Amino acid sequence: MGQIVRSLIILLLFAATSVLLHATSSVTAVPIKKTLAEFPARIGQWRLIDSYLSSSDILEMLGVKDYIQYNYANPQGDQVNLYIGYYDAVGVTGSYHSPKNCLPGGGWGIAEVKKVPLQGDTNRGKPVTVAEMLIQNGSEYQVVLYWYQNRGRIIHSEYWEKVYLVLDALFKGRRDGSFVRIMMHVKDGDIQGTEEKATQFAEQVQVLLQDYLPGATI
Amino acid sequence: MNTRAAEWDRNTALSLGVVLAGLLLLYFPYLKTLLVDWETNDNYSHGYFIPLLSLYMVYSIRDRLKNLPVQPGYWGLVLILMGLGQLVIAKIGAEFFLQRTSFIVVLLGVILFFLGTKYFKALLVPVLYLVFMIPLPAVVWNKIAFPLQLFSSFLTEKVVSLLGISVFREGNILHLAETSLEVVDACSGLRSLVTMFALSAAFAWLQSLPVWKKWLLFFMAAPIAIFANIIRLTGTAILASRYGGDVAQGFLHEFSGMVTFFVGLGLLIGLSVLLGSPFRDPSVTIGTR
Repeated sequence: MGQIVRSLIILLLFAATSVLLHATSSVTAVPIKKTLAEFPARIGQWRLIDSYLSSSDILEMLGVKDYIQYNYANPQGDQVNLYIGYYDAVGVTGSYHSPKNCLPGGGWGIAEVKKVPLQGDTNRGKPVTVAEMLIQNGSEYQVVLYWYQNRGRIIHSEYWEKVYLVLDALFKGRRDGSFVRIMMHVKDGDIQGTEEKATQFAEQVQVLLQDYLPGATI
Repeated sequence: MNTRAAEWDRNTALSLGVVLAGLLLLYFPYLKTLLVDWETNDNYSHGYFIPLLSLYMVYSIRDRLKNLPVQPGYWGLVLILMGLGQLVIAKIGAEFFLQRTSFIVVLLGVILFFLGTKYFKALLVPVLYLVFMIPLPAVVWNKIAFPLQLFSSFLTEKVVSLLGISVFREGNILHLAETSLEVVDACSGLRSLVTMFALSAAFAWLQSLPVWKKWLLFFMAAPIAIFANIIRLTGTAILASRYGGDVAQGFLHEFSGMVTFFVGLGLLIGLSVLLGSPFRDPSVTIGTR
């Protein structure tokens, strides 16, 4: 085999790769079932007190299709912040920004990272696990819970989220997904109590969210 | 084909040129975003120099390359297929690091497929060197930066208190009598660590040293970067205790990064001279790798 034949083989491979790259990026976008703006203003004893809209720059950077950022308060005066972002085709129109990347930029450092189990049956019958971060700025603490709720799964790890993204894009032609983050300030140094409240809130959110997101089957 | 060594001929040069052009064309969308990263990501502002250094490495062994036998190897095709597969999967997964590193895999595959094992071995380091121009995924970066940040704060606290300045450390915050300093991500030392490794790899390659000394020089980048960073943080703490936190913060972010770099560079040059000329091993031939 001469060098010219070799180069023709390689150029053909490059061309095939190029076709494949284009074919996989034209995956159909899956719209959200119900707009997140209708997410309940009452969740258990929590009541919606205010909502933010991010600037259009931030939204463009995130490339998010639908999102909410709500603050809820309970009768005891605790507050919890809920962010949900929905992407109809992750990696094509935009992609998640893990709080592991963003938060440390704002003066907040990560003090602890762990996984927490949640009650519920929202993960295709498997145990539900979400990620928890304890973040610190001076002597202030916040509990952050986050997870990816994608195509009927609850995923706590950035790495597994990628693996399932590739698998579902290849075998189901779907790339839709959502990112959920719950943040709660720690009051009076009671980290454990804050964790418990945030976890209970998270359990309710992920069940409610199932009505909005496309599930394991569209 | 593998047994009969062919020489560089017009077909080899032409085919290789066309394939390399095709490779750059295929990867253009994935590599052009690197320019943006180098400009905006302070941790990778050294990125511009990496392709140039890599080319210089190839240039430095040009005479040896000319005399190597061309022995095309079919394993190159496997490597190319693996690299292209990596690109497709990484594209689907929206993972930039894997998209970009697949370029290196395919390039190595092309070298092996067209020119053979001898060229592959000779060019392995200059091509792998390109890894230094590709930013690590942020999740991985932060995983390393955070413990390094704590370690730097811890060592700085020790050094500063040894110098007789009273200091109290709380996580990444150094409390001095007058002011407090926070050891932020930029001072974690990871930035200088990556840059030092890129530099020490180039030094190790370009110097004619026995292989073990090359590896030693390469890995000494870690203690050198940490040492230079401690000097930086300690200097900042001393300034802060004398002239207040604002001066120190200004100094920290404008000037001291350069100081760290030149201290590290000086130490690297010193070490490579030390490893080189005075104790030169006469049995070593130039360019063993």
